Amino acid sequence: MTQEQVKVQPKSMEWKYRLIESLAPVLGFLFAMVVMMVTVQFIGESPIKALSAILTFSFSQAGIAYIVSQSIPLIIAGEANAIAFQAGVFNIGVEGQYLFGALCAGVAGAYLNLPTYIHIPVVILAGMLGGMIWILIPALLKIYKGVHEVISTIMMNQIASAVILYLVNGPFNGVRGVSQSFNLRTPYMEPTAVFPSLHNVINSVTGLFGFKFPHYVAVDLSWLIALIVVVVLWFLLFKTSLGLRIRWIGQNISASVYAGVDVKKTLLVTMLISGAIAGLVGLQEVAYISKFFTPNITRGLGFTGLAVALLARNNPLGVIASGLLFSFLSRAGYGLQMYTKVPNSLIGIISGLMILSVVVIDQILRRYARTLRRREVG
Amino acid sequence: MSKVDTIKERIPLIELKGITKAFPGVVANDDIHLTLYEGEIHALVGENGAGKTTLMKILYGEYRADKGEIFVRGKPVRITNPSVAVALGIGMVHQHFMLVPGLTVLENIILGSEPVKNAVLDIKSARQKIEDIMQKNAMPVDLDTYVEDLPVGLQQRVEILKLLYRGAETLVLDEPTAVLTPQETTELFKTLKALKEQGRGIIFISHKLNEVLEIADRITVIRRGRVVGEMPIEEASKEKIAEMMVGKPVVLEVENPRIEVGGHCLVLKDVVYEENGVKKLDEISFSVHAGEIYGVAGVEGNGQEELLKIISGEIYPSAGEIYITDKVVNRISPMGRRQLGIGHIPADRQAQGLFIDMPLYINVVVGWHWRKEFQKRGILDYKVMRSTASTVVKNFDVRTPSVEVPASALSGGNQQKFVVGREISFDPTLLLAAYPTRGVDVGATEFIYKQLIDEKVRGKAILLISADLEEILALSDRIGVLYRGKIIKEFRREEATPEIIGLYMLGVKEE
Repeated sequence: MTQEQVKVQPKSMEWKYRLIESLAPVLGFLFAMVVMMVTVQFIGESPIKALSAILTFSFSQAGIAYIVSQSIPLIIAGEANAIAFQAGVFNIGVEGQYLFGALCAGVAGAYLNLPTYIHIPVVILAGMLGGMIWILIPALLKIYKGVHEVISTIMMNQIASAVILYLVNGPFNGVRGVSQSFNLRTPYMEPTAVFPSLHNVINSVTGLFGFKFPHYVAVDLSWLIALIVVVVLWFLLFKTSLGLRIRWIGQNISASVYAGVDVKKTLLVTMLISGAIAGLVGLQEVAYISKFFTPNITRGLGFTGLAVALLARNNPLGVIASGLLFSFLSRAGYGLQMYTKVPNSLIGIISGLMILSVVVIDQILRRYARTLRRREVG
Repeated sequence: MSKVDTIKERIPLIELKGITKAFPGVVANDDIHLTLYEGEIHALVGENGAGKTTLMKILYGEYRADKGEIFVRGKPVRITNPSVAVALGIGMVHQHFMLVPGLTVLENIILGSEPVKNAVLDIKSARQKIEDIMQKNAMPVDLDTYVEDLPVGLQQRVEILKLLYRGAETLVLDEPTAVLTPQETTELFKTLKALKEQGRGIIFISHKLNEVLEIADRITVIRRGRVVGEMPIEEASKEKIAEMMVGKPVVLEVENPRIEVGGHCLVLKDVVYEENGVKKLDEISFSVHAGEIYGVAGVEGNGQEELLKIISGEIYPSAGEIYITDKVVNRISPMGRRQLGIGHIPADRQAQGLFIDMPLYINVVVGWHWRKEFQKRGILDYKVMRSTASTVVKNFDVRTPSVEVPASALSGGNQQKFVVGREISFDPTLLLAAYPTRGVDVGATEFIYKQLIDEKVRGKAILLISADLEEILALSDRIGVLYRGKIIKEFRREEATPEIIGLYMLGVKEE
């Protein structure tokens, strides 16, 4: 009887439902683009002209190179947010964690004297450690006192801003004299701690397709770091038992407790991993581009990382695509600003709209797929 | 005969004619006719997936029928969405309530149709109107309590009040008793009878034949999308309905041999659990042997939840000792206890037993992911997980297109079969079975009963917790009655009758 019933079932259309579910980012992007074009029209600029401005500015050799290079910190920030989201944690504090992590990395690079093959790993670990330290308090507060991480991590962001100012003004100040307040920074990193360039390696590959990254675009060790983070996170989440438990607590705490998962421990581990990854966000800038830490370091990457993760639906591989997309959008903004009278800030609105529509479309598609599945099962 | 005539003279409140609805691969409703008169309780029974819910969703405007007509008071109508249904006086109480926990009862009732006077919310008149409805129907609820603080029975009452407040004449109740205690069920039935007296029509969807026979005036049986029988209550019997539902005679009296019992698998010795100074469990002592089913009977809320949690390890006892196969486990975590060989069919499959959006091959390791065959050095072996899931699906007759679909795609009965199958498959020495057939149809219930009895015969110890006295009596070798956190009486199956157990359950008799 059992076998007969198994046979009677129609052939599963599961792959089709999965496809439907994964369409949200694409549809959201298209929708946002359409809205942008309409808005451009309202501003009184030609949508065609705006589009061509975006395309020529973004897809020149330099444009592509910048987009790829500048996507690196976005991808890392996206991963830091994605793993937290997978466990149902809103790590709004990636911002503060990377500020503090970047400071730690800068300090480790400037004040230690080590051979390069040790110094660089130490700089990387210092960044990760800084990020972990900065998430530890919110993590402990959440686990033992039930304090919501959104509130505590936002407060930690404020504290981070103040603390790095204090530390770079005080103990880790690298410039003395008149220009101090303008050029506030830590001392230059030792040459042994500076990230090596990967131009030769990368260009020897992309050269085969006739593409070279210009020397003024950052192509450095942080690319490799981002790649490792992506692969490791993907493997962790989808191939390991710990990853399964992380995804479980993100979906349903009471079922996780039923399954025997140590929810507190898993939450702590996840948040620490998220913090450690966040600590890597600023490394490209600190250890390759400027070679010191400054409180004037690029801000806001943590918040963009939230959007990057959301658009990728917290999939570590998807984060690459969405990181590139956000990098493209920011480039597109400059393109618009330069060649048309459309303000750059429109891109900010479009990014927001894109996130919003992806979230909404995602829900609609998931429900649609669920209905289709139910119909199939009957 | 005369009663049938009087029914015929009344105006049909609702008439469904030739309703047909096909989904890809399955005809959910096939030429269904259903008539509901004023002042009638019409029971709609059928197995899970027979098409009852689809039919009601068509009536309520959530689905559109492919073919067929709907008449309300003799007039043809097109119900394109639920608000049309509401306007036509049709109301539905879903199995999962649609209430906002953080709002008060009053706010929940008026939500969506708030009375407005001079552009300001007119709470006063709403309150008056609701109080009138409550008084007229003898359904009191404190309007200023927050819904999250109400027991399930009263939440359901709020749902019904919501419908009455919107002037519903036809009430559709989807398995309303699935979540209720026997007392709450009695209360609900009183309410339903009162509503019927006022001339309202009620469509009552249920699996529980006893209840159907108690409350309904007429019964329509659906099987595989077709009406297989319609009869007035006088002509119905449990056996007859059950046979129509599944298409073959169901042995509701399951064969349950008593076998030679082995050693203790679970012992509780004077276990106390205190929460905020209240003794939720009060010096509980009992033991379950290998080869027996120990049934815990009792009205819900007398400590069942805490008893389960204290054995599974989610909470630790304040005093006393718990032994699992002669080992004290008082402070051992849920994971540690599972590793000692506890299988656990949870009370709520959707909230606890399954990750509803994850595929079956992941759900098959819930609670068992630590087992060696599923991981090597912390890396999951999806191949083994998939094949295990396929085995469970095959052995436990879970109807699903594949193990790749998320658990949410399965019907409730099939979800439950999957959970039961999973917990049995890993060969536990002790099986905790909490409400194992809640919300499950007759066919699946019988199947699950057989599985539990088979496990017992194979020498497993089973602790059964259920609100269904019949289930307890059908399965248990020994029965303990839980009352106010205490096992106040133990019976051997032979000495137990529903009446006597009932008296202890309600605390009328105490040792």
